[in-house]
Formats: sequence, C-alpha cells, structure tokens
Amino acid sequence: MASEPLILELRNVFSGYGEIEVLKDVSLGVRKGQIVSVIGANGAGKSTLLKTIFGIVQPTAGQILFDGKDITKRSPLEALKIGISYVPEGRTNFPAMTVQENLEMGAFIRDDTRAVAEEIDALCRRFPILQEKRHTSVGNLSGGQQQMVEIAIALMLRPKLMLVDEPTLGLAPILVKEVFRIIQEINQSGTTVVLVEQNARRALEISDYGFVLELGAIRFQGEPEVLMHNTEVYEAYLGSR
Amino acid sequence: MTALARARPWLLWVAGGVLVLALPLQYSGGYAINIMINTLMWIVFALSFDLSAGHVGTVSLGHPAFFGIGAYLTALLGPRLGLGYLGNTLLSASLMALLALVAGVAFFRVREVSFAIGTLGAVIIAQLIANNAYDLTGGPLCVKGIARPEFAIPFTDVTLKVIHPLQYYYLLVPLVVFTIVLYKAMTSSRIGRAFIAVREDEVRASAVGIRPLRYKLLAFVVGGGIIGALGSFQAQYVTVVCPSEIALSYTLNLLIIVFVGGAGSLRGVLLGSVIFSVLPRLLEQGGALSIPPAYQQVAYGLILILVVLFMPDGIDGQIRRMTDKWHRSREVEVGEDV
Repeated sequence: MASEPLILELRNVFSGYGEIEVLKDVSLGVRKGQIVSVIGANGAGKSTLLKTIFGIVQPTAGQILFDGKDITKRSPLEALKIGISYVPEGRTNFPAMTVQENLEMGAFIRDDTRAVAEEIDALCRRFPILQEKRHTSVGNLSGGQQQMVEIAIALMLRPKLMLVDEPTLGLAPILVKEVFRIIQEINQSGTTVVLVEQNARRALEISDYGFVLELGAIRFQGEPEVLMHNTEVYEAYLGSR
Repeated sequence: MTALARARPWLLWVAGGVLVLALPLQYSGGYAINIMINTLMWIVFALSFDLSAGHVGTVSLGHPAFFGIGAYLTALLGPRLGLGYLGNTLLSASLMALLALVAGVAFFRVREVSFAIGTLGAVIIAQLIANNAYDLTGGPLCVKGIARPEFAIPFTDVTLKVIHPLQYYYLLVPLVVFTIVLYKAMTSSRIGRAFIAVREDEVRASAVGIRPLRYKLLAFVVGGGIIGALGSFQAQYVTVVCPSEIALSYTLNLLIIVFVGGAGSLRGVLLGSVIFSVLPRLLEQGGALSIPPAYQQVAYGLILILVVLFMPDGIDGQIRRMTDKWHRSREVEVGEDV
C-alpha cells in the first residue's frame, strides 16, 4: 500500500479567512486508494483543510498537488472537473428537492443528461435506500438517510478523491457504523477518501493512515496502529470512550 | 396521461391570455381599468422580486428603488434625450440592471437579515435624495408633465398618442408577457435549479460547482432591470414622478404578494398579485364589500392574519395540498377498479 503514488500532496500550506490564519505550514501526502483520516479538536483547522484542498478557501502560501499536478490556485468548479469532490459538514443537501433531484444537482456541471440519468440509476442500484426514497423530498428523510444522499451527491461525478467533513455528526451510533461502512465500500471501488472526523477512534479503525491536526498544524501522523499506541494521541483524542 | 390532461396547462395559459386581453373591454370606466393596470404592474413587480426572494432566497427590501429611480430616469432623461416609449423603457431597464449589478456586488457580501437591512437602507437613502435634490428632482414638488407615449404608425402620417387607460393597459401587456416568459424560462431551466440550490444550501451549492454569487446577481440584475422598465411605464402613465415612488410601502406589498401568494411559484405570485391588488379596492367604499374607511385597513389586516393562519405555506401551497389530496383519492379509486 505504501508504495502507491501520492494522489494529493500539500507542501507548506498556509490558509485562513482574511486576517485569521488557520492552517500554518501544513504538509501532508495522501496515497492513491487509501482512506486517510484527519482528527483533531474543534477549531484545529480540519474543515479549513478540506475547504483549502477543494478551493472554497484559497491558500495564502504553499503548494497543493493533485496527481502530481499543481492545483494550488483553483476554484471548486475546477476541483470537481479534475476529480475532487467534497461533502461539507452538517446537514448539507437540498431539502426541498427529491433524492433524484439532489443527485442531479451533484452532476450540475455536466450537460449530458443521459449519462447523468445512468449514473443515478447506478447509484440507486448500489444503495437501495436511494431507490426506495428516490422521489421523496430529502427534507423528509431521517438523518442517516440524508447523510447517505449527501455522500451520493458527491459520488455523481465519479471522483478520484472524495473529501468528507464530519459525516457522522449528530447520527445515532448504529447509523455511524453504517456511514463508515459505506465510506469503506466507496473506497474499495477505487475512490481515495480524506475523512475529517470527531469520532477519532472509529475513523482510524477504517483508515490506512491518519493525521492529527492541532492548532492548524500537523502534530502527529502515521498508520492507525501507530497513532493509537502513541500516548499523547491516545490521551488527547482516543482515551475516553 | 390523456391528451386533455397534457393539454391542460396550455389551455389554462390560452384562457388566461384571452381573459387578460378581453376583460378590460367589458369596462368603460377608467376606474376598473386602472385597477387592472395596477394588477398587471404588481404581477411584473412581484415576479421580478420573487426571482430573488423566492428562488435564490435573497430577500431584498430595496426593490422599490429600481422602480422609483427607473421612473425618475424616464422623467428626467426622457425629454433631454428625446427618447420614445421603447427607448425610455430600455434606458431605465438597462441602467437599473446596471445599478442592481453594482448594488448586488456590494450587498451580497452580507447575508440574510444583514442583506435585507442593507437594501432597506438603500431605499431610504434614495428616497431622501429624491426628496431633497430640488434642482434635480424638484423634491416633493415632483417632476410633472412627462410626455405620453406616441407611436408613429408605419406607412402613414398618423401618430397614435397613448392617452386612455385602456391604451395604457394594452401598452403594458407586452412587458407582462415578457416578464412571465422570462421568469418561466429562467426558473424551469438549469439556471432555476441553481437558484433553488443556492437558496436551499449555499455551501453545498458551491460543493457541486455552482457559484452562488453569480446566481444571486443574475436574479437581482434581471429583476432590477424589469422593475426599471416598469418604473418607466409608471412615469409615462401617470406623467408625474414623486419621491413617494421610491416607497417602502411597495416593499410591504411585495412581501405580502410573494409570501402569502406563494414564494418561488409562478402560480402563487400571479394569484397573490391579483388578490392583493383587487382586494383592497373591494374593501373601499363603492367596492363590492364596501367597508367604512376607518375599518378598511383593519379588515385587510384581519384577512392577512386569517390567510397566514390557515394557509401556512401560502395560497399556492394550499392549492398544491388540495390537488395532491385529490390526485391521491383518485388513485385509490382507480386502484379499487383494478
């Protein structure tokens, strides 16, 4: 696994909002085909990291490489076009639209309606709950079903890299398990996943590699077993159950 | 689906069109036609407002500024530039679209309530300027004597001067049709889906490659332009433009029409425009319900409260719920037959 090439690389990236600097000199690499978790406390910069990779927030310094190409200055639209998708934090869907329409929105940048329809059919076969609720407004679905739709929206363009921000926030434990299972399945079908999670233990369990972000900088990194056995990481993020 | 069911929306539009064209011919008095002109104006005004408020979810309280300034442009520039009706209308429309673009770039930096309050401030300032820039606007003395539209009839020496309300009514119809067609085309296309996506979840909209600012501006600019054209019509219709045309009371009426009628719905806004233009007139003395002046506002307020209480998603929402129920009950019947 470790010999796989890097699909994503950040070199000395600084980023933030206006005067406020959130990411301070972050360097990291994500290998193709892996699930990589980013864990850390609230305000550590986890979400900003994903937004910076996706292009919602532009880095103030440093370099971002995707598949070996420099993508430092790019819009979310360009990120989508080269195969990066992003599932924002919280309940982020279009509640007044049906599941079908939400999925269509996921392919908004594509004009080929036939291909889009086929993609939706394929997703509905893969995740039966989507088929079952296909013509229901997403606002009327349960929290877990909504999260499912939110992930599916990001799959519509068949991304090479999916950035997922706190997918289990506010979900019941049984649904948390289901969401992680789905992320694993997506990964197994070839999509590299960068996962930001508060639920550090669970996230590391399904990950190939992990980063610990503290105050906007990478504090620790390593394979999950290494991180779990690191006393500091354990006490700060994994200790209490 | 039967052929009739498929043709029904078209039949409705044709019937509506015939009604709009034929109805004023039934009335000889200027009063009734004046109400009808007013209703058409509110349709144009409210649909333009709804593009932003109902679809993109950006509720501006400043839309009357486009109307009032559009009217002033025609009043002040029309005579100097010697433009006809169409020229005046297009000038007001394009300058108000431009103003919407500039104002949009500034105001869309803030969101929701801050945005609403900011645009409210802009109307107040615009009205203050209209009231106090005597040299330019005449202040509260208004700009008077605006020329009535004239049309040279091709191949003849005859010029048709628009004087009677009935003529003004038919002069306004093309703008109404244009607004409805543009509204429908925008909202039922890819653009419309992007509007709704921005309204529903701006962050997620960006995540699927939509640029929220672009669509907010688009709706605002198109709406501003159309309302500018409407202001120009108003100036040439009443031939007087006063600071009261940049009125916050228009905002209130827009909010009632759109949110009680049905935000984001063509049918809702059309119904809202008709109901809330005609209803106050019915309550007037001599109107069908003829309520003493002192109680007119009270009655109007009560009706509003009742509508909001019993139709929480607006008139359009109520109709949709009723038709859904009807369809479901029919499906059950059909199911039993099988």
